[in-house]
Amino acid sequence: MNTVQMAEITSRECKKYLEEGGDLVFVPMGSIERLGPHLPLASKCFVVYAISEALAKRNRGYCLPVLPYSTLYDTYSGAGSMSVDAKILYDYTYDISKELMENGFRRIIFVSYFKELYYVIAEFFQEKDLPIAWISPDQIPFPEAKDENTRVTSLVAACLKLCGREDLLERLLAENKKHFGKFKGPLSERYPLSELRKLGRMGYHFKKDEYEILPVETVLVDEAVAAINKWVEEKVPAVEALKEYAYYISRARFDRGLR
Amino acid sequence: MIYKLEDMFPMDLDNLIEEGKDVAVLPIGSVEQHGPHLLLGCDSFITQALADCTAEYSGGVLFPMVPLSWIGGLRVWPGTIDIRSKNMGNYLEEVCMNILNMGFKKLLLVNGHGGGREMVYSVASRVFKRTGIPVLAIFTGQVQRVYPEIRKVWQEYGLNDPSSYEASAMLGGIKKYGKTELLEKAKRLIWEAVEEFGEPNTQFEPPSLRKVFEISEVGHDYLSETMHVRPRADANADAGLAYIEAMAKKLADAIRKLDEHQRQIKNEE
Repeated sequence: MNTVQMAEITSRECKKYLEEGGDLVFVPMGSIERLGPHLPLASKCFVVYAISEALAKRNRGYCLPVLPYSTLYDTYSGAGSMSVDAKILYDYTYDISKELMENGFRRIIFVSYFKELYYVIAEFFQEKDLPIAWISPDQIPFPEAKDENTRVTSLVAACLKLCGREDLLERLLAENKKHFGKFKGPLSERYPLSELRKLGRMGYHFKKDEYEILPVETVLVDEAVAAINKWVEEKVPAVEALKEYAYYISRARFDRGLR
Repeated sequence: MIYKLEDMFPMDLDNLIEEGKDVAVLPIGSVEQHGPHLLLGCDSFITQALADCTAEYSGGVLFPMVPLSWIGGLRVWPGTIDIRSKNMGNYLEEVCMNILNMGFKKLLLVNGHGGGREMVYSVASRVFKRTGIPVLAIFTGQVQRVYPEIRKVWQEYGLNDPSSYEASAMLGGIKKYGKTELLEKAKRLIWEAVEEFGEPNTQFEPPSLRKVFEISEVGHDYLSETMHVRPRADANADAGLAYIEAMAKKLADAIRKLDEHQRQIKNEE
């Protein structure tokens, strides 16, 4: 059996992987979040799971179990949204990074929407000299989608399919059809808030019956699966380059006599 | 009825809350060495299945597992992920507060990892101080001490060793989710370890550590590969699943008692 899930191997198997030169681990961090009336509350958990697993399989790495609770932004106040304070999640993810490094993993890649990871990876580098990386699923290109609602809905649907959750995919398609055209777009897109938010970030929370993602006319499931697979394939050199970069960093520090 | 949060759409949760459903069950797992033969996610497979059955029996909602915990002495073994207790406690407390803020009034924390026991208990106390809502944090080892009848399951299957119990419960947890391929792999690893190590009856630990343990918990590492869990050939998935189901029935009953306790408190106030 070829699993990429760390929870499904023994300590000995992990040791063997590291001794044979394996050094790659993905850390999927999802969320429980009220995103859209047609999307499961755990949508982002399925997305980060599917993407991490695809990347791990393609690059001979492992995945930690999905961390299901994370920091939310505009959606935090909706019933069913669960938001962990950013500074608490910072400490938690820092510990995960430290433990993975001490185990011998040298390529640590978070797959997450948690924006403050920017500082976790920067400060971890400053303190430990190990460049860890972070992939946000938002960066997966999907040109077939004509708008953000279609992009996100199709991506979630594709990841449910990749996770083997055809039952939830079927339900998503049914809920999408049922709710299509019944909700207005987010109030956050109206003037003057929309103008203010172009300048940077400003706190906002959705009101009752206001959703970030709305049902769409057509859910492009197979097209999104193809887009994910293509993107995973294209990222192989970047995942490989992380190894070379980590080596470069360790040599550069040594050569220059830095602490 | 959909009872797993990860399977719910927003309207499902709205309907549950409107119907007055107020029981939440949160499993807490770990990724840590479990001997040469058991999976790193051993505790997670057990608590996931246990929390799942408990939610089903009690009409509660099963929340997604918190998969990483404080580990302690096993962190010297590859694959173990240890979260500092302070950070784990803060994270878990946030999750609990979110659950209660949704409107749930009865929360059960299901923990099968001995090392993290005190931290999970601590979170239950902290959340109560903040909300006045009693949260029940359980540790599986303690539950079977309180209800010895649960342990009769092991006797019925001819098992009499804690290492057999843990391996069986892990296999039972895997079996519950129909992961046939993983179950076969897990069984094979057990047999291979029995061939390599035999079935040692004693766990290696320095005699001095055993003496110190007589007066105090003390910093220690698990120094031999079989110190945590020893290979046992009699591990049995059916026994493990029966054990999980028996314990879940007790926990569902505990949730009913929690309800009674809350009513008492309300009346007194």
